[in-house]
Amino acid sequence: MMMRRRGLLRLGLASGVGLSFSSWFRELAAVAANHPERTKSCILVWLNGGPSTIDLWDLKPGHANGGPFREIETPVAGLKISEHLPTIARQGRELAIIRSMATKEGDHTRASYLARTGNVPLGAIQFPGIGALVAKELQREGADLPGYVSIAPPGAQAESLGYASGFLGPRFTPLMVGSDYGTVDDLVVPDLVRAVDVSERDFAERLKLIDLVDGGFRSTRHGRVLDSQREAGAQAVRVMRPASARAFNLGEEPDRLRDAYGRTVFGQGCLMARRLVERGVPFVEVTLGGWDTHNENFPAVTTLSRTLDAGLGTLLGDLSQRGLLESTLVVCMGEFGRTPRINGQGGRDHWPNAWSVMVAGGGIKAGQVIGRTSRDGTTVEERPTRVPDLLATLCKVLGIDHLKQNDSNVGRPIRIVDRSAKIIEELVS
Amino acid sequence: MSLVDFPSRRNASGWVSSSAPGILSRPTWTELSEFMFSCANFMRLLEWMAACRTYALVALAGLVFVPVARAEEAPSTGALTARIDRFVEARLQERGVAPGAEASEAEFLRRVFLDLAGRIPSVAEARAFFDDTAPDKRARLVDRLLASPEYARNFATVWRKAWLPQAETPTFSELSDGYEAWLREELSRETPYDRMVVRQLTASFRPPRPGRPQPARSFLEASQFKPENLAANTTRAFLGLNLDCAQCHNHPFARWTRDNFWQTAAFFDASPTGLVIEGTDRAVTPALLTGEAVKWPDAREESTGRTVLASWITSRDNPFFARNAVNRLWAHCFGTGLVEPLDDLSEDNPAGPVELLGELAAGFGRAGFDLKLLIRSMVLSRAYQRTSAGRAETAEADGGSLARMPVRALSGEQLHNSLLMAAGLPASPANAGVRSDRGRFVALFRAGRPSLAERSVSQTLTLYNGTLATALTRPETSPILKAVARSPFLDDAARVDTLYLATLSRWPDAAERTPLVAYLAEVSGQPDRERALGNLFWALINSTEFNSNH
Repeated sequence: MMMRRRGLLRLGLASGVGLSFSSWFRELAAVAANHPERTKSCILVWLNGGPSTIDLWDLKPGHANGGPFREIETPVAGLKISEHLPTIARQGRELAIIRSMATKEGDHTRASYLARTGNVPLGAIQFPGIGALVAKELQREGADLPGYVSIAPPGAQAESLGYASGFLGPRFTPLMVGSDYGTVDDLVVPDLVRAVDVSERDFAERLKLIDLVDGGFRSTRHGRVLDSQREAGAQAVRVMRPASARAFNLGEEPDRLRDAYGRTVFGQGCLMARRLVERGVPFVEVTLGGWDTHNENFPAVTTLSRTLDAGLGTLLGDLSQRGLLESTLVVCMGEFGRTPRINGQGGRDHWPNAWSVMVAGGGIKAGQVIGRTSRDGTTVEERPTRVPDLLATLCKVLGIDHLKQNDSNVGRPIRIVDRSAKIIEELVS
Repeated sequence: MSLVDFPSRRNASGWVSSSAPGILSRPTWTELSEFMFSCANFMRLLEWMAACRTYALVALAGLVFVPVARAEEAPSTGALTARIDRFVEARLQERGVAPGAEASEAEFLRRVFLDLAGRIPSVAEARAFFDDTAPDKRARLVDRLLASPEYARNFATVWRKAWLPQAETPTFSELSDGYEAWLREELSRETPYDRMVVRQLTASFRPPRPGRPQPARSFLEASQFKPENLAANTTRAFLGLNLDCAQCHNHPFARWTRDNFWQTAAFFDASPTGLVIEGTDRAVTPALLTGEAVKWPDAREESTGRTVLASWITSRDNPFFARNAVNRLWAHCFGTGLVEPLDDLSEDNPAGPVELLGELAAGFGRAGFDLKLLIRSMVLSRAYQRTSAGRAETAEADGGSLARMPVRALSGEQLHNSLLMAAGLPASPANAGVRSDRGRFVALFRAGRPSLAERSVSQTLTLYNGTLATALTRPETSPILKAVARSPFLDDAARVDTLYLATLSRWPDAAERTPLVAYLAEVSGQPDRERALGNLFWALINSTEFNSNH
């Protein structure tokens, strides 16, 4: 009987509440944004393919390796970035740039896996990506939206690049929206809406029937497998609710704002990311691919920078304006940097030895540069930083104990980030 | 098939030709030696040999090499089953846990179909089983399933996941179909387990000629033919040992050293000067993990190292080889391995399960690595045939004690096969491919360990609103719905009953039937009835009972 009542309650929520949602949601969002204990969220802007960070965040003007790009000033003295990132540059006070990432993996897959999981691929152990790890720690019980949403992931290869939840299981698998190779129209959640010939009434009946059919089994069978199915079922219904499904509906945003983000998959993805963190999703990532610039690096990076600047720059401003930047950590990175020496095709090759990451929001100590590379950009001269150091720091900013252990698929507990990781103290206020 | 049974010349040659490809493999040796030691049969053996000289020569040559130790009696299914139950029941008694009730016949039917054939039973199969009144019907069902092509298809997937986990990554997903096809072929020919492993490790490094694929080579290919990858993957897949950490450093607690790792890797390296340890300038030569001396043949070629290693790995004296197979099959049937993690047989493990593992492993070896014997002995045990029902409060205390069967998630393959079966649709072809609709569905519903696998929101949305679920709930594309909705002979109770049998492989009880009959009675007119039946079928395939192996 309990079950049937719950079914009816669910039905009530599915049909009635959506209509009045918009009016009180705005208030709720405003309250949430100003609440001092608001749980933090993270937006990872993933530059897939190995971004030429020497042409974005750590330029080398006056050196042959520097190429044709010029630096521009930001409001912070000494913090200069590429001339092709003017919107981001204007928000220099919100940025911290780590210029001393030094890693050892120069292969896309291995390096991505390392950058996103903190580990090199080790056969059987399915390491979860940082998105799943954060979602597990910060997802609210009973939240309507999933804890980890991945916007425009790089197709079928995403999983081997560390977009997966690994041993944390399907509960923290990213809900994938669209594809890096798709169009703006593809920025939708697969199977989010009922089939055309299934009416709202039918769907409500179906949910009631599940409870009816499952009643006996439910009272005699127990365990994690069944709990997760019930939980996913309830969550699917919640995310199908008009109010949650709206999180993915960019049509509600004013045209001018959509234009400012850029009418690209990435730009619109950044806008969707804002809509999601606004509604309490703890981890959202937006992928921008195309950075593997072995040939003709500079025209390609110019174009990519424009897309990045519109999307990420507008996102930072938009978050700030809504009072969400303090509680939203934004990280912009890829799997490695590119060779400072420009090759014969005007391109740059893979360079894990010295590269940069941009961090903003989330209450970090912003307006600073951390670490330094040599004058030619080839080596880290000050404060070499490894991936686990970066991930542990992101955890700290998000209020997560990075030494916490999770059960792994090989039966051994594994820490969120390895014990050898050192927090980048300069970044944490 | 037992050798002792052949009564006439014709049967003898019939037997030999049907299993000729396997005649050089161990079960034949074991059976032959067993046979030889029985005096009466020895005369008949001579008779038979005279009858078919070609095979007799081969067999006789083989007999010379069969060590006396091999003449130990191969264990029977019954003996292994009894050993399993003695162990499980002693443990329950030790812990003061009462064993759960025996699984109902419907529970057993569904469970054994999913574990052995990878799908739920059809309506006809379920009815036939329920109607069968013979006391040995469970054993006969197991035999029938093990003899079916679906056994080979299902376990090709099971072993592919154990041996080639890389096939679930985009880089190596293309290997999956060919490899499974090869495994299917070997399993349906009842190739002994050890031979399947040897064939993979000794496959050619040379690329196959165009149009002549060599799927047995997939294992080497998925390690990119690199000695260090092969060392890690070979020991994990076939010995249940985890040497990964030893690749870079000596592990503080485990017994494997960095040298162990690279010495194992060196078997896959043909260079005469030894294999250089990554990051050092030190080279090592091949050496076995157990420290035994390696017997090298006089003439060495590229594959010699692998051949030597493969013969050590698959030897009956190898302390890990048979244990690993038994432990993985145990995990397949019972949800959790006797020893966990599955790839770490070297760690200190609780003595009780290790002892059982050792005994089952020895029996598996004596039986010539006969997989079906091992599976049969597990699923016919009382331990396997316990109900999964129980009170929630005791679930924790019972965990791992096998007082009852744990509830497991369905793999993507099991789920897809079962959805089609429930709707009365034909099975999708085994070689549908990773890019087919089935391939995409299976990839989306990929689950890790079935006893732990959790369902994601994306998976649920697809099962709620996806194209397959939608097609299955429309009479035009769902044969079961069409039959149930349009058959003039059925009343609403019979409709409910049939849908239950098709999806949950059992009849509903009265408390379940009554409200559902009432639900169907509320509607009038054919379109509304079809809609209501579609809703009910949707609810059944989205129930947790349908979506789990219990």
